[in-house]
Amino acid sequence: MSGDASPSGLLLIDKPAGITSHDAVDRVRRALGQRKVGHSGTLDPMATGLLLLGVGRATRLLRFLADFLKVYEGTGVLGIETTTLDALGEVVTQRAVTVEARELVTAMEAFVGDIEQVPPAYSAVKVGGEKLYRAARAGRQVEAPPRTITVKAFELLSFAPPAFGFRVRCSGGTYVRSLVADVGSKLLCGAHLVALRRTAIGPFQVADARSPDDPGPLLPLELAVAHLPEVSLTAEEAKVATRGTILGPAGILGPYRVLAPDGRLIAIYLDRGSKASPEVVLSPS
Amino acid sequence: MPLGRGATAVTIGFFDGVHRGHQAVIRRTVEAASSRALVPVAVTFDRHPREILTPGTVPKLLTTLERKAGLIAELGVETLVVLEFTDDFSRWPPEEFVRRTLVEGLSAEHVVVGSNFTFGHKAMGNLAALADLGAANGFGIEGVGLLKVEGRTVSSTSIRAALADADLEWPDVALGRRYVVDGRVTTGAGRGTSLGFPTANLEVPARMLLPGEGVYAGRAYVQGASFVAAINVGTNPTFGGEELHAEAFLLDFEGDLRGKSIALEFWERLRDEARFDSPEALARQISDDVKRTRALVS
Repeated sequence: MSGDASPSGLLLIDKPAGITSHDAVDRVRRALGQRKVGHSGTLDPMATGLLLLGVGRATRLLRFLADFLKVYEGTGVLGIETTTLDALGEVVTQRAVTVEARELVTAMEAFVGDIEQVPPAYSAVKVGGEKLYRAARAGRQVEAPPRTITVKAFELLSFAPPAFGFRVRCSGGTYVRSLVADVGSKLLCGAHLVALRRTAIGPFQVADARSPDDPGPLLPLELAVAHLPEVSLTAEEAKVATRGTILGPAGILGPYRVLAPDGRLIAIYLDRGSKASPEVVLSPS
Repeated sequence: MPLGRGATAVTIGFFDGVHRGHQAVIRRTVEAASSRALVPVAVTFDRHPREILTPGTVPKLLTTLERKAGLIAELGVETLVVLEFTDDFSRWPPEEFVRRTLVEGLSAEHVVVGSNFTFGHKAMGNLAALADLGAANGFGIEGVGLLKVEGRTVSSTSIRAALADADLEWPDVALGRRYVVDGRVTTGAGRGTSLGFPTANLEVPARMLLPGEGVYAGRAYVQGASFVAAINVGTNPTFGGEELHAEAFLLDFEGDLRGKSIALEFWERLRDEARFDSPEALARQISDDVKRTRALVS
């Protein structure tokens, strides 16, 4: 049941609103008749948009997608703060909104760069072995450690007070609803996220994504790591690499692809001091 | 069963919605009671007769029993008698109904009903029969004709049809007030994606009628206070639903509504439910909904 013989590859899925990312993956499993399906980076149930799925052997390459920047488009509403920072929670405060577009843009620009985020109380981050959202529902105050994330761009697309449309490009692990809530705090009126759609993960676009019930043909799994540097091996080296043997270092920072003379992807290696060892070895196809 | 309150003036009906036609009959009863020194009493049933007589054809209801009781009391009725419309009860012949309920139970001296009133097994009793039985049992009767407003007959059926079509105009006229739905805020929040607001999800008893799908401006009555509210009625197909359900966003309200009783009063229909192609479209719609709701609801 290693899945070596079963089809492997990537899928671009457009997650519909109202289901968890886990549910979406289950639907793809049913559509393909395959169990070995994983995803890189969840979307909240009410969010829509791009989910990158790995099928079969490709599931082992999903971790290399984590470094891709993500692009989201969404809608926020100023003046209303909620318990969950989005429209699914209860209203905590309501304030009048007198903010102008200029001030909103300035407030958003303040969040571009490396910033620290504390995961919102209702996210699925584990603290002390207990998922944050379970602790929040039980009414216990749990402090999650802040995470550093990078916001490359945070643009205002439209402003129809109290609502505004935005686009944000950011590193993985960013809580967009925290960004929106923080913009609201900065403007002193509060804000919450009402809609969110992930439009890109790295080079992958949601325009190419399909429904979880009709996922379409598998994309080559090499696409998951095409962004990593590559090293071409000799036939001899290729032979040992397929067994996952230690090689000499390539002098590259971070994981890299090792290719056979014919260009076939053999494995992903990482330099460790004077040696290079495999992160993932792909079985011969 | 005897009321023990002295002689009464009685009206009988299911009175769903307590619309202006019902109000006319009930007011006439109260007037008659006043001029004859009788106690004004209304008799109604705990369930729609069709539940027993023609199961599967029961319409959704306009008022809960509690709200109905309140509306009837406001008209001056002193006692509301709620009879269990059981299978057994439905078989009572007209004479038995008159004897047990009106004579022995209520000491009725005057009975006022709508002119289309029928009663007893197989609806064999009508106004003429009631008049005969009244003569034999010592009570007078009065029939009140169906009420027409703007040329249209006021009936619970026509009100239900209009609401299902998301038309509030006829119901407002026919009821003589705005349409209200009673419910309870469920634990967990609403799905408010059509509104883009954090909404309170309402649990409305399945037998009650919700207006047709769409977004409405209205008022929410909760914890003794009222708030301007944007109300969404929909089926939420994302969640596989077919039953309508309601959620509301209360403007200028802060706090936790979970488990609280809430009444939603529908003022105006703003629009259909919609899906939004872009964040700009959603933002514009939210802005529009808030402005219009505030402007429409005083």
